[in-house]
Amino acid sequence: MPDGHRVNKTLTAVVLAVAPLATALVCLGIGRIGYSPAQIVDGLWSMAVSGRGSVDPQLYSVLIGLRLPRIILAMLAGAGMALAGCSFQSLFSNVMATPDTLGVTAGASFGAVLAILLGGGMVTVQLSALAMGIGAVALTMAVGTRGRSGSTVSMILAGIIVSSMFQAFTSLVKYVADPDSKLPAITYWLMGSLTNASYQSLWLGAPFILAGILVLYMLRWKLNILVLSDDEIRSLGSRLPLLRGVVIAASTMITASCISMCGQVGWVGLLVPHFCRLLVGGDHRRLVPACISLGAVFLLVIDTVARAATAAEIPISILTALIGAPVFLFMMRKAEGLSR
Amino acid sequence: MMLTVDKGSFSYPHGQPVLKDVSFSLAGGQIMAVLGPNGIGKTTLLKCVIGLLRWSRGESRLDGRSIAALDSRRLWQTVSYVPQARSTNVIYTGRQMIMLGRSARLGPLQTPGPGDMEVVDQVCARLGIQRLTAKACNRMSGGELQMVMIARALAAQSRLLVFDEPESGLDFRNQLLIMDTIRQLAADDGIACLFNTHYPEHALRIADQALLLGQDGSYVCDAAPQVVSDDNLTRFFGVRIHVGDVDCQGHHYPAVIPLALR
Repeated sequence: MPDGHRVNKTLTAVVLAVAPLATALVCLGIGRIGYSPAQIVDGLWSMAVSGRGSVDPQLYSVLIGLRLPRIILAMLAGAGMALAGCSFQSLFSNVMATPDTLGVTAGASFGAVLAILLGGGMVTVQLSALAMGIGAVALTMAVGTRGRSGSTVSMILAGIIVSSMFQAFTSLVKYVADPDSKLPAITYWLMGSLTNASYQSLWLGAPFILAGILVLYMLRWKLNILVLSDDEIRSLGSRLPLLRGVVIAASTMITASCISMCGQVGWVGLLVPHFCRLLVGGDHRRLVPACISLGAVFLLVIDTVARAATAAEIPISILTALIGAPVFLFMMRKAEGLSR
Repeated sequence: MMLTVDKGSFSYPHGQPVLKDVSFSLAGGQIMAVLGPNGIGKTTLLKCVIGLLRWSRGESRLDGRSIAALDSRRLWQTVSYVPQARSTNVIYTGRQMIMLGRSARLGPLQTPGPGDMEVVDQVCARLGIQRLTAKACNRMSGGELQMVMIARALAAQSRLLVFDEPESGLDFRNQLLIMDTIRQLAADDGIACLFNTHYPEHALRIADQALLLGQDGSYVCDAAPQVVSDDNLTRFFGVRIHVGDVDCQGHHYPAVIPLALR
């Protein structure tokens, strides 16, 4: 391997490692009250060294109380959804697969809107969404993997069916919801937002995302094999049903937990893995870290725009689609041939 | 390494038997060809032999031990499967694809290390395909991809290679290249090779044994020249076939000519 190639690889690795932290530092300072990255580093340093009393209380409450939980959520959700999308694209040997393919989004959304309809608090909504999301995928798996190996086509079909069923449930909930109070809350929730980020919701949801990311990171070499046909996977010494099950479980945990905290955030799972493939190629040993890093950066930037661009909050699914669609089209033009 | 198939039978649920009481054995360094009409069960036979499909009755044994009872990692360190190279949309480079062959020798959470890199390099040198290591698999020709598939199987350092129609759809040059590669792997490395093919003359060229599959699980299995005869081919393929010889520049080449439908 020529040396230039290795330098290039190391450079990419360093950039990928630094980018999320650097973005977080900048985004912490953006908002109604602006801080420069230098002020933030200064403030964080003195908080770390001599406690919270050593800084301006306003700085503390804005940075640590308000913005930090939201920034942590954006990074976790971005990294998680990008990685879940990447894993599903490997699992289904199809670059158009997304974390929603097996019905997790439809299930989690129904769980959330049902809890809102019944007047549940934030924690109830989060738990209900998490449970329903995982339940929907369990149902898909139960229907779609009958027979010995369970082809991926029948899993995708089952996912479509289960998704439309849960979407119908969601419509039903919207239909019966009080149009003055409940319906707007439901509609707003479905459009996705990180407004409700809090340390409490993070304590509940982050472990699922972190565990899922850790599992998929450890399996990154196996994700390379998962792209191949069933016979090839087995003949390379992998236990197929087990491997598939673990990847689906990890991705589902991540996605359900993300949706339970910030609603439907589309595009991340499709856009980021594609971009990363252009950047580092198809080898998941490099693709997985790239997805984690750039997924975090992507959603963090989008969410910062969502909260700071206008006086009112912009729903995040609108932004991911408005930014995602053109970027995706541009990438498809650039990558012509790469995907063929 | 000794592969033994003992009275293997296979039928799909509620279906006619595809394979009936197939028995043969194959030793290290030997080559065996499986012949037969389309859809008769050649690929099914290969998959049953190595446990990708389960025999309905009978069993395959490696060095006397039943494959069904072998730990899957042990099995795939001894046996490698070379799928038919169809055009792929996988964007891995040749090197990445070949490296996948090392999986059978890695733990569940292990990633390949420098030792594995070295094996891949050796395999590529052995097959003379170093130029393919940086090429994307989705841009390879059929012949190039087939060589990469063989390299991937070799990277597992197994003792039995099973090829599913390795030379199907390839041009003359690539057919000869694949045949020569199989012959060398058997002769030089002592690897046992089992392949199915639509070309009876390929069986005559390189195979020690041939197995000819027919309707309802019937078959003949013997030394290749005994199996590939006018009578057998005519009977099993249902068309008139002549097996001849071509003498050219002091060499002797088998030629199989389909004469007429009836």
